[in-house]
Amino acid sequence: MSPQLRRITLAATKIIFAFAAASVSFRGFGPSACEAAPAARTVTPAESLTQRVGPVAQRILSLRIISPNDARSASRRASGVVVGTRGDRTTIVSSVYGLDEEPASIVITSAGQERRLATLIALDRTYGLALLEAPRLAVDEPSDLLIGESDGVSPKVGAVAIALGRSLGRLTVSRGVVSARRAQGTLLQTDAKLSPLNYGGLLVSRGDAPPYGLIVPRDVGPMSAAALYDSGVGFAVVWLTVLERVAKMREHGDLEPGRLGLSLAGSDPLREPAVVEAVEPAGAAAAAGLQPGDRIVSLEGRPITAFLLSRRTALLDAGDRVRLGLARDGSRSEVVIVLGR
Amino acid sequence: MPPPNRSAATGLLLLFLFATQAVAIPPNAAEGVLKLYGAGGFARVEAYQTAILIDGSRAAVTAATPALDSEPLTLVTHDGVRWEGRVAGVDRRLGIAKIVFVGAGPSASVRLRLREAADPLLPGEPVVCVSNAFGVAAGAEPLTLQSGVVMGFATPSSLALVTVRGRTPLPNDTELILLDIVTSNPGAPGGAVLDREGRLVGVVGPERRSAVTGGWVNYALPIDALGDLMSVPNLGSTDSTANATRDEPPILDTSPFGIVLTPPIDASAPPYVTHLLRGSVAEQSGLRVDDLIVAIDSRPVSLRRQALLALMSTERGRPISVEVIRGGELRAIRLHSTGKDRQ
Repeated sequence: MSPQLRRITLAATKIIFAFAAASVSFRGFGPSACEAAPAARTVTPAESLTQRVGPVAQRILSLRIISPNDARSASRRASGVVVGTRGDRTTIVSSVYGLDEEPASIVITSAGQERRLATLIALDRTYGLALLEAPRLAVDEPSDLLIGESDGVSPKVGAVAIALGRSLGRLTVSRGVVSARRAQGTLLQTDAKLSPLNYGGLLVSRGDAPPYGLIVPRDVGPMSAAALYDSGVGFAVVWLTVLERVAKMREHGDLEPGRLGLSLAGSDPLREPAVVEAVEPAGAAAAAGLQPGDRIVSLEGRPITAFLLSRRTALLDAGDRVRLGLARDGSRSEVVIVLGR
Repeated sequence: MPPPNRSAATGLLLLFLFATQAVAIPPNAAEGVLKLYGAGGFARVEAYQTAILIDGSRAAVTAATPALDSEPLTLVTHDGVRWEGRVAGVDRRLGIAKIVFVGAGPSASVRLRLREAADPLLPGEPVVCVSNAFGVAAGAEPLTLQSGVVMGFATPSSLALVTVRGRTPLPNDTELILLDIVTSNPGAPGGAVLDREGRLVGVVGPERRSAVTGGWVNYALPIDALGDLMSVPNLGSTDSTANATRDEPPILDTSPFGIVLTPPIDASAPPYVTHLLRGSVAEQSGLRVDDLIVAIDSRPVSLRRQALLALMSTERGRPISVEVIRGGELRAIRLHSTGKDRQ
């Protein structure tokens, strides 16, 4: 191809791409919305093709997490997603996989083979997310393709779901459906095969729409996340929730699961009312004045059973407030509990 | 096939994926897949697996596992007919074996067609796996068909594959096909991975675990890796397996450029610089002990073996760039090879 023809082709692909970008509705997302103007960058025809049909895949990075003082064990591999920029830094979101053990260094490699050292900003142990920053990557531009249209954010159960990861450096693709929505619509369950090959990657509908969610390891009852590798049971945090959690991590730092600090009586939590059996001496419930024998009748004004109480408080953070309705000695009252660690 | 073609086509394929709900393969496409019975059947070593008949050969191909240790082997075709077979060759590096039949063997009409090399497999492409997973089928009963997509490609070294017996002997230049189909099942080794047209694209290898992910890897050996094994004459005896046996190439040069890395404690050892030879290129170029090598000539490396192979495969006289982590910073160091220092 002559240099002139090449220049014309490039200009044409840029125009097409500008149209594609303009047709997507943009929405900012909290404090880390794109602030800087995109830097000039040469786009090869192969790249522009990939960007038009798979811009989401271009946002997925490879993470290499090096453990501290341990020259014997392999570094963990995971994926991460570029969500935006803050000044001269790229904001990346990943899962807690490999990042919850105070890594010595985190090396990220972008789809365009740019390499940076990333810094862990905060962990969200409640949802299993991690917030990272790295010196600016060229992949930041165009910045907001991941954010917007709600149809990409709340998929129907049974919808086709594609899991994308880049843990080993190259894109991996696994296919399934959305199996269920969980945790008041903040988590998606999928039968697409999930493992460290795509933890921190994305569950998507199409290559050019906002993703369904970010793939995270999750334990289910006695089953550890590792026991569920490739099992057909895997989870992603809904994308809108991911963006809310990023904003919350920016504000509060690390997020830990919140605990009521009480145990409930009874053997059939599905049917039985929530009767307090014991309170932890220095726990959240004790601080709010709860006593053994109290019956918890409502949560945020809604009637509740023992089962619903544990389910609805499972994904709240330490420091979050919950309003409980109590019945004690025939009288009713309401208390606000600040969840503990 | 060059990776750039694959990545360019990935986007297109992603679109195509969403429209495709299932893979239908041509009828009779799976007739070239056999049930294989051999030794084992105790202590979690299965006596059964899968074998496939390949176009252009009178032999069958299967995964090299302990099930092949006692002969004769019994192979059962789709019509329930039993055949006797013997191991004619083992490629220990790949973990595949060639089985020849005693007597005429099955009809040539049921052999699997190979997908042409000019038609590269792409990530996201729908495929099916036909195997005797869990030994569900017997006699003339149909085998198990599982559907999924090609998850991607990875080299054994990037996955740090390990077998139950230790480090995998898989050659580092083999690009394994990663599958989103769970193929790490007893009985599945030797199974056929077929495309939409029923053409063979891969063979399910022996069960292997990745030291990087900690999990079993669902993978298939690419058919272009079968070439060497299929060219071995059909000797019909295990006496000559030595001819077809390839061993892992030893790493002779343990200190390329004067760099001594972490001892090979296991497959997952990371490439830390533990020592630098006096006056070597590496020492003079500014590399230091405790540097952790993360990339060589822009290609990421995360394991000791990967780094050694990358350092050794560089052209003599050409400078290479080594990216290291030192004191929490990423640094690039250029090493100028003189050829002499490589010795």
